Amino acid sequence: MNLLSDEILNKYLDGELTPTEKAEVEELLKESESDRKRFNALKLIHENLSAMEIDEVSPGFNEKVMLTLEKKYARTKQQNYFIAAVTFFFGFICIGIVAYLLSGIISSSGGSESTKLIDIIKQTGEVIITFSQKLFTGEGLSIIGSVFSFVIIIAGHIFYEQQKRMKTNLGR
Amino acid sequence: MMKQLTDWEIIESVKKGNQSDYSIIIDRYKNKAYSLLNRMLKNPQDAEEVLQDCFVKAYNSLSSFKGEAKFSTWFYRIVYNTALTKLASKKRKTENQMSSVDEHINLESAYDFKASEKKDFAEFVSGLVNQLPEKNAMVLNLFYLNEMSCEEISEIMNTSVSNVKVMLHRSRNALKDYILKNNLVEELL
Repeated sequence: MNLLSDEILNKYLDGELTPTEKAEVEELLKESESDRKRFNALKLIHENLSAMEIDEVSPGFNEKVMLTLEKKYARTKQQNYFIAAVTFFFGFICIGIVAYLLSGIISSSGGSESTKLIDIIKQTGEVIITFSQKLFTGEGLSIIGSVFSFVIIIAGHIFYEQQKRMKTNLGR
Repeated sequence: MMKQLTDWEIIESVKKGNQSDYSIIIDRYKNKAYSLLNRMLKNPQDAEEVLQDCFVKAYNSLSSFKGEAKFSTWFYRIVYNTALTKLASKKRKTENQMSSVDEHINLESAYDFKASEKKDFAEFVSGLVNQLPEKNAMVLNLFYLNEMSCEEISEIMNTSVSNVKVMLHRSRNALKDYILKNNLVEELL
């Protein structure tokens, strides 16, 4: 007849019982042969689980992981450069447009109460206006448009090719 | 010399841009994590593939590791969750069908153990562990191979400490019942 539950035997093995409970279990183990047998089996399992061997990964595992990381890291870096270049390009254009609009507003507001600062902005605005007028009118505009479209197409193509190459490398 | 550094020191170094130091972390954890995955996924190829994925994931998330928990706990949580995702994707079992605490464990040895070969008993037990449901195998591995406490295991598996203890006891009992049923105890003792 079993006097001790599996739960108690497991707790005894894990050292989770109080000294009094521990002494009681030891006493009962002396009395009951079936409990002793169960406890010995559990102890045997416990000892052999502690002696379980650790499996080893195949040779070259570290290199494989590091290579994957390097490729991934390189791709991220390239993507970042590309995004930074595109952002800079569009940022430059946006600043130009804002400056153009600002100078237009300033020049149309009249100059009776203008201060030194406004004069400077006005002058700068006029320079930008003249430059932009030259750049964005007639032939200049079509040339800029063509160059801009060409740059976008080339950049898109390079980006697409890079992505494709990286994907192929990672898939190997 | 670098190998004497703590996990946290190595991670700090990696974060500063010394990417190659990450291989020290890989060296420290690869075999134990592989053993764990091998017993969960029951397939060495899958285990290595998933392990590689885990190291890449951990590297990419290093910035979110603030050192509040041990690196090992944090890393094994990634390993455990990635293994579960792999299992789900392979449609072996759904999360709900997977070993719950109440699951009944049935063991059948893959080979006959000869009681005379005592030295092979650990290997025999290891074979039996491989047959346990994924979560039970995971608990035994973390507890015995990684020498983790039930508290740490509960953090990794996102479950209560009492659940971990139940799984640990049930797994051991299943193995105990198996060797009792096959009369191996007296011969081995």
